[in-house]
Amino acid sequence: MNHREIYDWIANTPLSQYMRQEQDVFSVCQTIHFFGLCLLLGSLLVIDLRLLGLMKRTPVSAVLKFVPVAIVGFTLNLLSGICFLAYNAPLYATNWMFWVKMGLVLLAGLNMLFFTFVEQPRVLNTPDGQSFDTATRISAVLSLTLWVAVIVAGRLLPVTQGAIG
Amino acid sequence: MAFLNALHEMPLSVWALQSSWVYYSLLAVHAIGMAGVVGSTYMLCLRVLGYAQGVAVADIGRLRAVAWAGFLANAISGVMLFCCDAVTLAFNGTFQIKMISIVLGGIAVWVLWRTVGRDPSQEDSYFTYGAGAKAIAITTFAFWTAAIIFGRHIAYTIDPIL
Repeated sequence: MNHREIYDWIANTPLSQYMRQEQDVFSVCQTIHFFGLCLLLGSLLVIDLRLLGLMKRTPVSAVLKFVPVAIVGFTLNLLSGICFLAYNAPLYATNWMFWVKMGLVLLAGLNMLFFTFVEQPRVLNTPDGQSFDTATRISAVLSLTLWVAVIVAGRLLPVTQGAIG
Repeated sequence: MAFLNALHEMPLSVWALQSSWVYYSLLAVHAIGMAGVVGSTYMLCLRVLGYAQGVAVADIGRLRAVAWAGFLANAISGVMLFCCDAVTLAFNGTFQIKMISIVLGGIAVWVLWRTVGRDPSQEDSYFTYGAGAKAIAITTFAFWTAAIIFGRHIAYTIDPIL
């Protein structure tokens, strides 16, 4: 399948037709995207700052209760993001900033997997009040930096697509 | 009116509007600041509503520094963005509702801290808050969500300026 065929296939999906028919839905999706962003960044702030040694009164196991909030935020943004793509796939696919944003999301996702499967078991075994190892703290800093970079790239999308957003 | 026009013609506004990179970078700062203010406020509200018991509210209070930094970033970027389109925005109902939501959200979060904040050494991290505190948390959550909804909607009520 070449680019054209992929665009055509997307444009023919019911979701794409719906998004183009109901113009207001696009702005609703944008609002949901911003709401999801607040849930994702807010929960990661609590988790990552705890891993960096702040908020020592709270055990890490309690702080990790905010992980589902991050997942809800991410899912909202994934779904609303799919709606944007369905609305006009070529507009995004031909914008290099979009691919920068997707690359950053991928890196942030890999970092999250690394934390969940490699670091988390060690973190939970660390006695209360003790600092976490360097890898955990680097992972926490990366998490916050990468997601902030995702916001920047997302907000700059209209600049490189030469259209308003 | 003359004042609003003068804002629009300030060197600062002219500079911000000369390139879409500058203008959208201001919007990027505004989005990061939003994540800091609203993100941390949401987490406080969730905890007061009974989610994530075991997380000390005093510890979430450490995020107040992040919230204030985000608020400062958004006050600065917000004033600059306002100056870029002062005449239109000043009389824009959506913009006005956003501003009112932020003021009410600020008051609500202040009341919330007055209600749930206590000496950290006395705090029980599994504390369950009463109906009053929960009502304030829901109100706070609602005002800041309204600020996002109306803020995001401004772009759809005015002509694109870039």
